[in-house]
Amino acid sequence: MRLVLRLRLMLRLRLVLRLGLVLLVAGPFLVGCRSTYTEKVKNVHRAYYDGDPGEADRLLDVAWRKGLADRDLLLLERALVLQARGQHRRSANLLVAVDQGMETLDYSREPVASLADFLFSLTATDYRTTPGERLLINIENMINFLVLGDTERAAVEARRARILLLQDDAAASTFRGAAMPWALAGLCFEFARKPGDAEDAYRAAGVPGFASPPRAGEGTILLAVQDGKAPVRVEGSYTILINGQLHLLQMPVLVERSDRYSRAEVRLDGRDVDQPSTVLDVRANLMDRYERELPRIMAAAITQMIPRLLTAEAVRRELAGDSDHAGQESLAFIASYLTEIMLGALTPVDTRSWSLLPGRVRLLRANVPAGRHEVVVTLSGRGSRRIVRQVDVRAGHVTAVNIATCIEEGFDGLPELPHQDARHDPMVRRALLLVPNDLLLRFSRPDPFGREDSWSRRRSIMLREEGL
Amino acid sequence: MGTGHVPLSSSPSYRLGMTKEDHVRNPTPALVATLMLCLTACSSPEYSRGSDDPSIDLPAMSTRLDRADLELALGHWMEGFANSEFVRDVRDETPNIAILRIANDTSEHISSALDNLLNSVETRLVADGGFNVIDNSKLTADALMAERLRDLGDSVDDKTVAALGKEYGIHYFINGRVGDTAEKTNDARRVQYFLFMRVTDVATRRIVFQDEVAVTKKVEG
Repeated sequence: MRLVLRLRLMLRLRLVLRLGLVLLVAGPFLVGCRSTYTEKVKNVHRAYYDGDPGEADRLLDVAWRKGLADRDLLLLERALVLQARGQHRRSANLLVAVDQGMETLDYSREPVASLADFLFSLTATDYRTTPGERLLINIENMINFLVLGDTERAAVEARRARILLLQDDAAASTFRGAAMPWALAGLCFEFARKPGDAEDAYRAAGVPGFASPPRAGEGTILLAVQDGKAPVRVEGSYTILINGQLHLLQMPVLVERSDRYSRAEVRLDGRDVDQPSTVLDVRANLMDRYERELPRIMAAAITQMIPRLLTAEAVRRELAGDSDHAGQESLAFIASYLTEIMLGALTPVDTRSWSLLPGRVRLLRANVPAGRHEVVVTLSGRGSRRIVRQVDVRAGHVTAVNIATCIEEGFDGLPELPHQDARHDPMVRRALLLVPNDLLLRFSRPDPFGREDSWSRRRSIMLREEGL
Repeated sequence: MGTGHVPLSSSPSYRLGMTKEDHVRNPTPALVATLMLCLTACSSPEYSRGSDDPSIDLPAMSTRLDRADLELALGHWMEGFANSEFVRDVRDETPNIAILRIANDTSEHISSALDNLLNSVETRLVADGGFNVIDNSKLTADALMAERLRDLGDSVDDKTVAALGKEYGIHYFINGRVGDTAEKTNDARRVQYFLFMRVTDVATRRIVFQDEVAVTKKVEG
């Protein structure tokens, strides 16, 4: 009997060694291969923000040829790069194509892919834009078509934006700062000679003076200044303690990036401009949307954690066997924890988002006499920059000028989040409390010291602290 | 074991180092793997030709206008036009007619479909022989006229009408407009199109013929 037990112990130790060897050899290689979307586009960001959109375009083209599920997202990124390069026609065509593709995807049934995505965070599933990103496609394309002088197609984009804005409003989750999209849509309708639609849009925008049409002999300058950097999704890795056991929780976290410029001043023909203007705070909108989606993201992260927990528990049970030997049990617990950590490290977190979006889009409308005018935009903040454009204005027409200062912002690297205790991040902590108690307990390893449900106790304390 | 904790013995058993017999006794992992492989298996694209299989033209592929929609509109318009009092009255005169444009007032980028529709109307009018058709591309080749046509809006201004008569000898012009009412919920999007066609007498500025076709497209998940 003693011999049999010894043999079983030796077999298990051989298994541990084998497992360790496999993890040792394959682990670093697999972890090296596994990178998130944000990491994949790091060099694109570097080229774009360091003022080389041509190189960013080339890198995106290379990535697009290799990409599978990220292809539409790469096209969105590329559309902004092309726009910054002044290639508005190509930019517009890409945005139209992606917008239509996304619509098809919205109504596609992909139960297996969605389930796989939810369970294992497989970034091989097609990327679906968020409602905020969808509206930004239309906003960027209104600007593109207005720069091209194609008011009919600009009005098509305005109608698409209107559908989203009305739907968003109906869902009582209004896009913050909807004044700017409505004002831009109003301008598209006005110059597409759709006065009724323009009036409705301007009324919804409520921007004083933006609806004033040019007088006889005058035309309109629409200046769009796109500055700052939108927040990006990066991998967040948190430790949570359930039943005295450390568990790894991985999820995408939206992180803000610093801007070089905080102020934009516009001078027209050498004079300060006191003209109607409106700003869309892209950053605040995306952060707002992320916070509202956080409980769903947290639920997905916990669901994705479950297969890792089950595998780790299977390893523990296999190694611990029927032995009462404390050393063997400890070994089993350590192996189980390492398995969970390694599986977590091998699973990429879905950090996909439209990462080259600007932080803000400012719009300014000026009705001026027909002829040539000089527009000077001075940006100031951590740095300063002066951009001068000569603009030819025709009576009764709109001339749109797009200035993408984001390409001058400078690349400061991508934000990285340190591994931390979930309880120390207020946002994660709050979202964690929204998850049903049983879900975590059901799949957690038992407390090694047989203590009573410690997670429930700690949860009660956290709930009290949060005032929930 | 803590309160509320469900022992894993009630969950499926996960073991390392399973023997062949184990797999036979517990075929679930193999089945799941096979199923996942089948579900994620790639298949090469398949192309087909409409002349071999006419049914490929039938299904709606998007909420935009496709050939079936354009043919429906064209058939409806041309039938109404041919049977109209106006056409019967001008039969013996063979007047000059031009199609200015079909404006896209929808939430879909369908300009190229509308260009095709415009060309189809021209083709039908030429084939019918009751009118002298002035080529639309002749109008759009003139930069000033092209700009005027682009900026038409919902009506044709007097200057443009005068220019059409004086510079191109046009007696009647056709202009079309496609509008829509688009609505969207979380699981469906419906676009109701209204395709209008209107014929105007250049001399009197009077609308001598007008017709409308309704087309609805929907996508739902």
